[in-house]
Amino acid sequence: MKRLALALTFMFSVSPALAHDHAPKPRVAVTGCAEPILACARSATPAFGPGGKVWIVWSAAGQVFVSASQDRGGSFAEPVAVSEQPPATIDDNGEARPKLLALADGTLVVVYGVRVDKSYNAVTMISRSTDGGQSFSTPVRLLDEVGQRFETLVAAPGGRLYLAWLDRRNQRAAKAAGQIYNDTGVAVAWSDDGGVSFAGKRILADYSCDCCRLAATIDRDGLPVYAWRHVYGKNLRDHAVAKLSADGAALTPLRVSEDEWAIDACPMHGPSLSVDPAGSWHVAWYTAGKRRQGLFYARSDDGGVTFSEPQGFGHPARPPSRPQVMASGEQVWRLWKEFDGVTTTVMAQSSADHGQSWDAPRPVAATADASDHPLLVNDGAVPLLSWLTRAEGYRLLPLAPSH
Amino acid sequence: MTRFVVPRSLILLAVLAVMLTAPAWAGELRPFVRGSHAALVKEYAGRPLVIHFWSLTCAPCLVELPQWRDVQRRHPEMDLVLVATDSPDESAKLERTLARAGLSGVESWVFADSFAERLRFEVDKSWRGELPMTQLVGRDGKIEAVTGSVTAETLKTWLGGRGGVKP
Repeated sequence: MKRLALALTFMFSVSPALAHDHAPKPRVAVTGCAEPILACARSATPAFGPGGKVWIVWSAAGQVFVSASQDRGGSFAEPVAVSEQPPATIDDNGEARPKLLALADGTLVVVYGVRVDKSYNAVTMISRSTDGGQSFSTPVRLLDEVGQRFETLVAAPGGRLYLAWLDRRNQRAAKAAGQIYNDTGVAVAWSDDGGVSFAGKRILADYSCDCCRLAATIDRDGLPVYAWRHVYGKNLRDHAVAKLSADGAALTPLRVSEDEWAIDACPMHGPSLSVDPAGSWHVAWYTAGKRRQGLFYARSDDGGVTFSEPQGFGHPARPPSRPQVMASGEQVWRLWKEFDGVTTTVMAQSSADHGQSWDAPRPVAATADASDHPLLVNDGAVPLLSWLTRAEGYRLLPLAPSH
Repeated sequence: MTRFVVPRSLILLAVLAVMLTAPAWAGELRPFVRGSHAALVKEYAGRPLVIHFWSLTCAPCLVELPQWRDVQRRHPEMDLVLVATDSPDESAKLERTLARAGLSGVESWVFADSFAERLRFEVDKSWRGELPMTQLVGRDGKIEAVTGSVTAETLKTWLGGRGGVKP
């Protein structure tokens, strides 16, 4: 069998080239970017406070850092370490990522996952800053048990914080009992003291796909709504939405669409969810189901009971991915990634009629190297693209409707 | 204490002996970069080739992985190449996982370009990174992609049909 000769680069350590008809292939060396700097981060997630203050949270070198900006993301101050512990395996692949919430009183709450074993079991850690991000409290574990991932943190107008995550406690219990249960639960907790302590912490819905992010937002009545890739039947990985009941005891999944994606695999591609001022729920997701493939959007005007016919979006020849949807005032925005073989472009479009019709998709930013998932965020005034790219660094770009 | 001086030629001979007795890839992960996919398909042209993409981050992949050892034993007419979509930083973990699955002797690669979109695009333009993903490359060079676990039946049917068909 002939061997493959690869161009050798500085990245690879090479075995001695001995006279041998089977030239050894280059061996992989550790190439990691391991410095505690933003340039080594895989993801960065923003939070917005009053007065145009922006913070981003990111991880590098096994630590979580927060950087503050006084000029709406134009420049960032020296990063502050959220923890001073020995380096840990931070759960940060873009789909899972550290998150940050700026509360109305100026408190910052950071949540992140630390993976504790090779099976991707993580523990959720919480840390707070009450001095505007100059220092952070020693991170504490949300639960003693392991098996949390994809934590989300949202604040209701009354000040209550809702923390939700995908939870493997039932899976681990089943495994310990010799039973097979490969899926994950959705658990919710809440805090009335700005993230110091949390109540609830129970699994309220079962059978979530365990590798896709959970999406969270707050409905008009102050209760949280979630969207996730559910596992229907044996292995149909289609999407569900669910709103937490007022007593915090129930979270009933309602199906967004019947894509019929039967797959025993990890799509690692979760949905996005937003509630507009009129109370409609907007969902965007990726599927490769029997009935449809690509990025889709649907709206529910009745709290998730019924959804509009899924609308496809993105250029099919440039595999669109990582959809985001967000209502911003009277507009609804969606954005996503496209790749043409050379350049990754973030595309965006907006709707002025609650998602019935959309203006032409247009490029917002591009890169020709590795990039984080693009995030659609709002600083309280305008919708923005938040995007960390290897070549360009962190960017926060305002979006303007074309109509 | 006596010091033994080993002639350099003996060391070289020992190194050569090891290289000749063990497959060149044993225990070594190779960097999967731009062009690697096309080169692999070209290298194995003429025989049915299975390229299996997996990751440490994918639970179904880890469940399925040991089955590939048996598949390889059952189908010596087919070549198997494994590609992990993790990063070279995970090499030690990947090698341990492969060893546990009895796959140390199988040609293994790892994504060595942080621009993963570009690598995926070269593999399959419509692939967003779902795992496990397996490409069945027929004798005729035609590629079929299977997302999710590959059943023994699927593989047998393919080898008996398109995969085994001579161009």
